[in-house]
Amino acid sequence: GAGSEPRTSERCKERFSATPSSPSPGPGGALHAVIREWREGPDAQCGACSPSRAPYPQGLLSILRKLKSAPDQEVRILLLGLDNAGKTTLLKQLASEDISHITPTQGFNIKSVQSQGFKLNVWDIGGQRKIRPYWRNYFENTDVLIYVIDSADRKRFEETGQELAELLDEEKLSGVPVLIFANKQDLLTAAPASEIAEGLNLHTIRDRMWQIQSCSALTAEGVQVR
Amino acid sequence: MEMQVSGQCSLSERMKLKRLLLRYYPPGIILEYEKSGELKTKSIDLLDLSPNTDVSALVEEIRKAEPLITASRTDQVKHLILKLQDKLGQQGDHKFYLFKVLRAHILPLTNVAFNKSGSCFITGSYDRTCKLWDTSSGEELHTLEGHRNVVYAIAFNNPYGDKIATGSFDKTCKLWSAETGKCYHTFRGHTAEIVCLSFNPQSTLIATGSMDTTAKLWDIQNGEEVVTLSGHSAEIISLSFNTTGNRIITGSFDHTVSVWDVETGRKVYTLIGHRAEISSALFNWDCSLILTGSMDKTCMLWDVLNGKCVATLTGHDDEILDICFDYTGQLLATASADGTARVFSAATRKCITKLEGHEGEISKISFNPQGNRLLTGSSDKTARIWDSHTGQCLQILEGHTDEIFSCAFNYKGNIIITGSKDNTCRIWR
Repeated sequence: GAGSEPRTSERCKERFSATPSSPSPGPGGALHAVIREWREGPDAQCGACSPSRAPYPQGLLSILRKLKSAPDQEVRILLLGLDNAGKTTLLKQLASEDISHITPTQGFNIKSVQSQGFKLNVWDIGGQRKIRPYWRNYFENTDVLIYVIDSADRKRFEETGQELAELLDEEKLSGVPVLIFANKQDLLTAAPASEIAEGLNLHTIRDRMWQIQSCSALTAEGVQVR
Repeated sequence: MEMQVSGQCSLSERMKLKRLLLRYYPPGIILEYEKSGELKTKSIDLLDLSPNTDVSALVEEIRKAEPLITASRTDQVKHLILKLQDKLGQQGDHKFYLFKVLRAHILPLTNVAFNKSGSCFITGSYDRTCKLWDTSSGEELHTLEGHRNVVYAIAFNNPYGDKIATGSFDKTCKLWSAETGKCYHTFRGHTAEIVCLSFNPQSTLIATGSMDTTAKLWDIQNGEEVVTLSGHSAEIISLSFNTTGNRIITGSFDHTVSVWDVETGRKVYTLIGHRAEISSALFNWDCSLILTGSMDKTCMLWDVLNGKCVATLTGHDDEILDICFDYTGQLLATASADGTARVFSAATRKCITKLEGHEGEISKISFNPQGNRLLTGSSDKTARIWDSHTGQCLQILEGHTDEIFSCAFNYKGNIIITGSKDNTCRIWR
């Protein structure tokens, strides 16, 4: 739990020093760190998340409930990235759900994950080119942006970098902390997070907190799930 | 002679009956009459009519109560009542088959709605459009484009059906021509998402409810805001007019329901009692009762005259997600996140039957106009048809590959449309 590890607080500070941090995932987990940081400032302590299985979404009404400005203990997280980046797999890992039958997302998926007293409402939005213009449907009230990159799909690094740059220019997302997952690290051809950070010029981001985290949504490595 | 008449018979002189029209659901006779040169209508509701009702006695009763129905009209009235009885007797046992899958939108659908005759219907979507469809061919008639975010709430101005209103997460509402697809007006003023809307029964106003905690009334003719209904302390997610159109009700995430006077925009009273967010609120046909459903797992019935709670309907193990009355207001139904639905008698407030079988939350429920069937839509990707008296599941409409967000019967009760998160709309008939 929080504070059980004396160095946690230090690690948090390190994470948000606006320079690419070590790609190796700490036990606290980057997602939790970003949320804590956003909620409580740089001195907050990290702790392990304990996601619990969230209830199945309840139709349109539950969408409205998740749309409303989050009360104190709720965090609205937007999960974006190109098609086939692994967003839905990541979402399902966060919610401790089966990941064996995942198809391209034609619309969106929402899951609520309990984590250390926070309710994380995670919105996973389809990434196919024709539906990317609709990402902005979901910008309102976003607390944290998670951007997922297929680290092995080098041919599309430029494309994904462009999409990310456009997101960071969006007025409705201004100042929103961004967590970048360098996904698919289980593949041999995957570029390391440091290389991706450099390629995307992440170090030039000055207007928000940001963090890059290498992970494999498939093996759950780097995605804090228990 | 004429001078003598003016006192006693002024009514029949000023009000002249032009014709009588039949209304099947709910059973009634519409009187079209002229008053001071103006054409008007009123209705005689026959909500308790059954195939066994003594017609001669009923006609006599109507003649006594309604001065427009003179002795010379009694035969015609009798004929109409017999036709209504005949209709009530044919409680059809329609079997539904998948007729068309409409790859309607490139993103999930939100709501679906028929026009009164059922000749066409509309679908709203996350792709920011609303589409108008021909029911018999499944052809797309118009795409209503212009919103800058999700089109969430949609409606026809039934019974006329010549206009469509769309409410969007872009905070605006738009009024469209159903014939040409042209946008007449964009109503601006809300400061957050519009999530519910309705035309008044006269089709002169549109009411919109928003996450900004207010509802607004808009003039259809000039496109201007008429009044803002403020008072709720949280999001408004449900609203509806009563049958006559002089009252509007709003349900809010602040756990309360407010009743407003349409003319002045003043709050008449607030219904306080639920312990969690309201999911839906509506009037019964004769405007004597209000039904509210809540996340607190209960429904409440309220007396419209004094705003007092007359019954709390319990039994569900999870949040109430949708509620409905049948057309006559004799039955009501509740749909819950516990995966079941229940039917209650509005008179006794007792649970008549329980609808069990869905494997996920039921997010939508509605009666067919005849009142003998219920339609439910669920997160288990199916819609189901039930006998509203026995609770028996008669049909499972399978095929959608994701949650069903909305479903509806047409006015005849022989066509169903379902809208899903899988981006398709299906026509069943």
